[in-house]
Amino acid sequence: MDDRLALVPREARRYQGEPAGIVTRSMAVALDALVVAAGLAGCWAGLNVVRFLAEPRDFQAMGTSLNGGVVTALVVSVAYLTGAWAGPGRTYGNRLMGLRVVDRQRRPLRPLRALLRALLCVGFPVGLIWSVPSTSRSSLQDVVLGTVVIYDWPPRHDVAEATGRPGLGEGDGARP
Amino acid sequence: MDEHAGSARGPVHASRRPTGTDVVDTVLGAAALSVLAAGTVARPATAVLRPVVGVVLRPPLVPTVAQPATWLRAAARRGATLRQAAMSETVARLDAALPVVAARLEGHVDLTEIVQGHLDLAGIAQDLVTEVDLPEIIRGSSSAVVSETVLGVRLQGISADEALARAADRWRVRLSRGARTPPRPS
Repeated sequence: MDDRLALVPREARRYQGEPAGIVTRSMAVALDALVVAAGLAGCWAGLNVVRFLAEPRDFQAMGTSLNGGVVTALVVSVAYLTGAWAGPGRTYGNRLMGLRVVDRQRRPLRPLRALLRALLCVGFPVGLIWSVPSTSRSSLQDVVLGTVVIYDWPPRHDVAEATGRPGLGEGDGARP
Repeated sequence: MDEHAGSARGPVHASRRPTGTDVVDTVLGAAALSVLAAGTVARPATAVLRPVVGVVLRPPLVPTVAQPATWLRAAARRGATLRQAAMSETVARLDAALPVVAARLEGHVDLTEIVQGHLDLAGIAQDLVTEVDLPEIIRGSSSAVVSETVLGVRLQGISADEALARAADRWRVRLSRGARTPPRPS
């Protein structure tokens, strides 16, 4: 047995490399939303601390407008998702839930495709619901960009090699 | 070394005067021979004497209370009781004496100096860390609790995904059956 799969509990091994369902993906999305919110709150607090240290007498907390906050959150989300998918292949939420975003040949996403996917996910998040009726569990973003979200609990990315399973291009729709 | 080997392998040379080692070797050889001989004699003797001893210890027609085996068993029980009492007494005395001895030793011997002078504590600690791989143990133990929770959540997520997928499959089958059923003539 592969060393990577030895780290995965027996009951979860057969799912490794398979497309993930909406429940797991939604939990990952919620965790990522929390990460972005926490990051923004941390930045806001940090900036206020800097301002306070610079001008303690005239200090006033930075105001927050709804529009500005939303736009900032969207921009940060896109940047965060792009970096995570183009880099390690998973966001923090993906990592906790044991997911990874790859292309149909199970390769990591290129930066441009990661950026497009991030834009689509942030701009049209309900596209994830399409993964319920889809036989290949593909969201609309996956269908448009040819990406797959797979269960990948081991830390490194070579699930297709580890499981010996074909990429989705060869066996689309197959489920354990 | 060679001299010892020579005395062990063969007889001591006649021209050489026997040394202390030769005497010890001879005594040891004689003792080993005696043990061997005793064993050889004792084995058949035991086989022969066993029934005799049995009759002596448990003579027929003699009440059990008056048999030597009963007396021996009672003596053994008494001996065991005495041994346990003696052990308890010894342990109690040692428990009482050891702190006093340790305190006196502490006053006379500088343990810190001995340890610092004779032990390479830094080297031992370094070897220990290298051998034990402490960082890996700390990482493993601290992540174990977290990973248990995370594994549980992941497995529940997969179960929910599967349940939803089965429901979607049933829904698709129902839809396809409905599409294939021809409309009833009105």
